[in-house]
Amino acid sequence: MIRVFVGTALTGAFVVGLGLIGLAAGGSRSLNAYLVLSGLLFAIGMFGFLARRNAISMLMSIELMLNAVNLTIVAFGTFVPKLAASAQGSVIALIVIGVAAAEATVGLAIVIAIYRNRKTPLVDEYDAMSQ
Amino acid sequence: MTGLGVHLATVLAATTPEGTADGGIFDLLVPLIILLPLAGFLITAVVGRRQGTQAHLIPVGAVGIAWAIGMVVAFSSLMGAAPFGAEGYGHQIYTWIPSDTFQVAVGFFVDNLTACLLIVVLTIGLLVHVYSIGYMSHDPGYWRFFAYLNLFMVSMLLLVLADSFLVVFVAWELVGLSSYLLIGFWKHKPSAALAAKKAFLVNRIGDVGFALGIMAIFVNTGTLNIRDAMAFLTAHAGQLTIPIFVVALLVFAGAMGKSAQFPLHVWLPDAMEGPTPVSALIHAATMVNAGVYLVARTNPIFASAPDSMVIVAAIGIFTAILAASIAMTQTDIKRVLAYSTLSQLGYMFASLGVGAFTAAIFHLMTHGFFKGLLFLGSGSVIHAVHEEQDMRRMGGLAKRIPHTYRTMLIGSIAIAGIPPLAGFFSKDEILGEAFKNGFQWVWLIGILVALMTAFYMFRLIGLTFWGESRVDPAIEPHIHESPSVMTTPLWLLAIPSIFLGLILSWPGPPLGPLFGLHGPGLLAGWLEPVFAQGTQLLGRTETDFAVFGIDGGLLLLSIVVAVIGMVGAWRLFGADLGRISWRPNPERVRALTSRVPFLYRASLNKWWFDDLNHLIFIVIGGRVAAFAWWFDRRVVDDTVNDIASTTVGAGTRLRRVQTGRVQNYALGIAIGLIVMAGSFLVLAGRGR
Repeated sequence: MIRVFVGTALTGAFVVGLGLIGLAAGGSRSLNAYLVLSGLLFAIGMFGFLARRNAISMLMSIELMLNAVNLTIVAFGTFVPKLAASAQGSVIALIVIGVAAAEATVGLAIVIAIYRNRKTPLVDEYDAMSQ
Repeated sequence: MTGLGVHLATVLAATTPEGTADGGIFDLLVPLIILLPLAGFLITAVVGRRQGTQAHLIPVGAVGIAWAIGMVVAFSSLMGAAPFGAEGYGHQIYTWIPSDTFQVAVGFFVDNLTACLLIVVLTIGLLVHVYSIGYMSHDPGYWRFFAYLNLFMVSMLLLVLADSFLVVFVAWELVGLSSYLLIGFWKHKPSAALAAKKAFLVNRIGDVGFALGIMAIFVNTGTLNIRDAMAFLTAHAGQLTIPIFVVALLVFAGAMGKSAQFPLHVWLPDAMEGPTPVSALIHAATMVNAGVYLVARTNPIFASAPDSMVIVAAIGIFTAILAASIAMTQTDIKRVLAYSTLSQLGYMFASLGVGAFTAAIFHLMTHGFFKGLLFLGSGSVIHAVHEEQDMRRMGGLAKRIPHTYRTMLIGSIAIAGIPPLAGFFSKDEILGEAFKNGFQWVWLIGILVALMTAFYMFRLIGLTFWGESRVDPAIEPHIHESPSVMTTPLWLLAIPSIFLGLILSWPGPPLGPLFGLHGPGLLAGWLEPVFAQGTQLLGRTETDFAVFGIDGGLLLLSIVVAVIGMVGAWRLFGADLGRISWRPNPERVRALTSRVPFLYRASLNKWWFDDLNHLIFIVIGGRVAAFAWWFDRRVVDDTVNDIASTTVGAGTRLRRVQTGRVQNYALGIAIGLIVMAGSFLVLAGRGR
């Protein structure tokens, strides 16, 4: 339990620190800050996807990556004048959210189906294909 | 193939009216000749086993009725009756292979040549069937034997009656099959099984030539109908896709196989392993004539390529002297006759080669009868001395088996060429024609062969029937004449052996006018339309028979030669003919053979042809095959196997890449993504 707290605290500190770096790079009016944040979120999501063995956690990591990309799209939509005029960025972001929701539903359904079969959420035990 | 269709159309247009002529009853009778033995074969094959000793009734009956019908058909043709005329009559029954330009119709064609063959095949076939009733009576495979005999009759009759090369080829192979079955009839005997295999294989070599010849004919003419193809080939001999010389040689290759001409002659002597009626029917009187028939039937092809005819004559006369020289020293009674058959077939081919087609068919007919007689007689001798075939353990049988002795004596005089028996006329005609057509070398060798023929035949008679008995004392008291079911066919064959030559070459009344002929002889008149095309192409003109000129001289010479050979054999091997009673003289034989040791050994060992074949095909061929096997195993197979095992090994190692773990794949995706994005950034940066 203590490890969870320490981990959460460390991650929180890490995120806050990086947020500070973002603010230093230009604050809320700078595109770069959003991009840095988005890159960080994507990196975290990728790390989670590669490092976690739990299928649910991996799905969550995917969501994180999708949202990082969404953030990038929205940021570009706001800061690029041509795009800002037509609100195209927001529209695309909404589509991505919709698709992500659908993807999450399907992914969860598959994970649950496998779980019922194999009685485990750990993906490294889903190795029937290699045998 | 340029303009082939047009040519073909004209050829077909020229022959169609004849083909559609109304044949009346003959449309039914001619197929019946084939269908009757076929029915006999099928019925005997199915129920024969249950008939036991009565198994011969249906097959012999079928052949008997077929014989009667065949005689009606043959003599209708020879007399030029309604549908036949001088040119012959054909009828197409159905189209076997209807395929665009490749049309094969099954039909029959009867002209005077077919009629002559029908007489020989059916008459000898029927007599051999009857003879077999006695000869095979104690054999456990009685019914099987008659089934095979009927199958052979079907094949042989189809061969002479068919009007399409492809049907002839089918019959050709069927004849080969029935020959195989009958040679190997006593299949428990390894030598018989081996001889059957040998006959089959050697025949196949010739058949390849014949098959190629048929293909060449089709490529050239676009038709397989014999008459249409002949008409087309001779009309366009100069402008064919495949030269007519090649076509002639290919067809002749087929004839060489079936008629056992050098170098494909090796199967015939071994074929004597079969029952003796088979030797008489197939390997003396009918099947071996198929090659002669084929060449005679396709005479325009050969006449269009005179060079090929010289080859035919050379191979024929070479076979004749080769086989005659071997026959002089053999001690197996059936082998002497087998080599004699080879020799006489060589005469027929020599005759075809010098352009004397009629003489060849003449000799085919007379030879069929007297050689059939001699073989059946030898069977009767073998029967009498309890399956002994070695003439050194016979002798003095004349008094013991008088019917066999008398008929075989008639046959021997006939084949030796002593007038007025049948063989004299046909042999003399061949030799005379060869001389007059400018083939003096053929004539010279032929005279020599005639001398040897008379010699070895009376050697056979002397050793078998005259002199002291050398039969095994245990068998001696049991020697008995064959039953009348066997001796009757012998006498029935002896009649044509005496008179057939005289009848067929008789020039004047009363027989000539009966058939509407006024020509040089009965057979020459019959066959004149058949060989008209060939004779015309060769540019031969009919010359009158000059009794006091060259013909008389040649005739006298061949009589003298035959008598010399006969008397020579008497002096050496004895004679017992009423007043002529000479003792055999073994010392003199030994002295003579020791004076020419090489020739004697060569003759005794059949000129080492079996050893040569053994060396070429078994020893050298075996080495080549062994090398090919090694090459296949070590090089071809190993290459394939190595490729396979390399693939398997690579796969075994590579399969570890596929761990089946999602994270590993995801890592691959991530690395790929980074590499792609990174290289994009680098490239985009450089481009700016």
